[in-house]
Amino acid sequence: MLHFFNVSFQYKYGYGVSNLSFSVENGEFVFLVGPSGAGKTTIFKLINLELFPQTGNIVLGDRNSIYLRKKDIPYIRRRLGIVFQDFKLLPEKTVYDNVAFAMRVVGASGRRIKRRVLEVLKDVGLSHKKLKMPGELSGGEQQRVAIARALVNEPYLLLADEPAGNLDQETAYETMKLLERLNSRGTTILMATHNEKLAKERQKRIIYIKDGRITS
Amino acid sequence: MSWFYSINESISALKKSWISSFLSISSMAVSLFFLGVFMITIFHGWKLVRHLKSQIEMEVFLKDGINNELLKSIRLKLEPMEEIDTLIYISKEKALAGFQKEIGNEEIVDLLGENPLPASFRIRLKEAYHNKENVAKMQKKIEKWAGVDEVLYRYDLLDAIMKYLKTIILVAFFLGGTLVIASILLISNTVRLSISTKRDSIKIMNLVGATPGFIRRPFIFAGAIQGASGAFVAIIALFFLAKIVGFFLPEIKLHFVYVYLGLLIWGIFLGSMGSWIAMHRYLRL
Repeated sequence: MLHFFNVSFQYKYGYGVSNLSFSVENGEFVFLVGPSGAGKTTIFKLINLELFPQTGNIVLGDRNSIYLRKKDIPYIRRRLGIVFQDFKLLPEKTVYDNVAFAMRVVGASGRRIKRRVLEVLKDVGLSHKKLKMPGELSGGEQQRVAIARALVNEPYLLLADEPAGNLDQETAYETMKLLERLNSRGTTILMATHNEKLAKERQKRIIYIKDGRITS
Repeated sequence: MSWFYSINESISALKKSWISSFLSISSMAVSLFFLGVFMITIFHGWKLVRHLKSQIEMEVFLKDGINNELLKSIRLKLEPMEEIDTLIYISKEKALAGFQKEIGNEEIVDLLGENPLPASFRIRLKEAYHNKENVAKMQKKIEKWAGVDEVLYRYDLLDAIMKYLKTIILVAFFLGGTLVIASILLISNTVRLSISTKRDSIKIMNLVGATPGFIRRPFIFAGAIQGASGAFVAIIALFFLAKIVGFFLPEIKLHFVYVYLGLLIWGIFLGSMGSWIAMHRYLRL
């Protein structure tokens, strides 16, 4: 599903990632664990094609970063779902519209949008709050809206960048349970966290990263 | 569906920054209105010049007492000239008759003891040769012929009109150009504002895989809508101006569908250009 082959990327001001090789297979739940500044977000940006490897290559499904053209990027991003620590919801849109937005901008039909958004809101347990504004929701609920938005286009791979980082312990636990449930139903997940304990408790594969390198 | 979505988005963006939209639409309306006035003025001025040119005749006055052979040879030299559209010979008698008809004085020959008017050829030139340089060249050439006294061509009025027309075109060019640039910049500013208020949406669109074309489309529409709205206001104003002018000068026909259509297309083009400038500077995808 996802393969990194000797991937390096250095920012102009230093840091970045060096010589990374790892894979995530279909249906897996993999943790990327490391302290802040270790390179987790850089890895996500490389997968999402916001950054391009300076050396090495990334294979996602049947696409190889070496042979990519710029115009392919949007179509590859449609196969990825991304969840951020700060949710990145649109405050002026309702829960329903925030999720539907991700489908509208890729040109889905109105009927399909309605059916799929209601389905995915049910999956994350927010059907009853579909007409609320993000500001009216708790942090955990907002994160679930963000997860619903990431899932709505049925991605190959869900990238979660510290999804529980801004949440209290109980809500973080619930968010993790939701992600595990989604994974058990077939969604492949790569989750970045600095919280080693949270990752270890889940008994999933962990990739440790420090100073831009995989340590184990 | 996605086009409908883009149009909706652009209208809502314009509503949100309505003060800026209002300013740019007004400025577009003013500049297109002036552009329309200039276009119509220049069009009519040009029509007038063409009409006057076709009316003005070149007169080749002949020396008194030239014999028939010389007259015939002048006619034979004039007839094959490609510049000439029509050629009429006015004899001394015909000239006198015309003169007397015009001023109604039958005593002129009695008064002077002879017919003072010369015989002449009256020439109308083909449209392609209605220019000053050409006329001057012909004048010089014909005046050298034996039997020809003088060649006249009334160019003064035409000259004055042409001069005015050239000034109008120049003023229109600079004033119109300045107004057009100002309205493009104002539209560009409105679009820049809506880009900055939609920064988060743009970021999310980018992340979920919207194509750059899809992201840009509402902004292009926003510019085009502003340009078209400005053109619409300008067209209404021109329509009423034409009605007022038509009331005082009924002989001038002032409604031009193609001027209105041209302004609409031009407005849409300028508006889209304003958007393009804003996106080029502020929207990196």
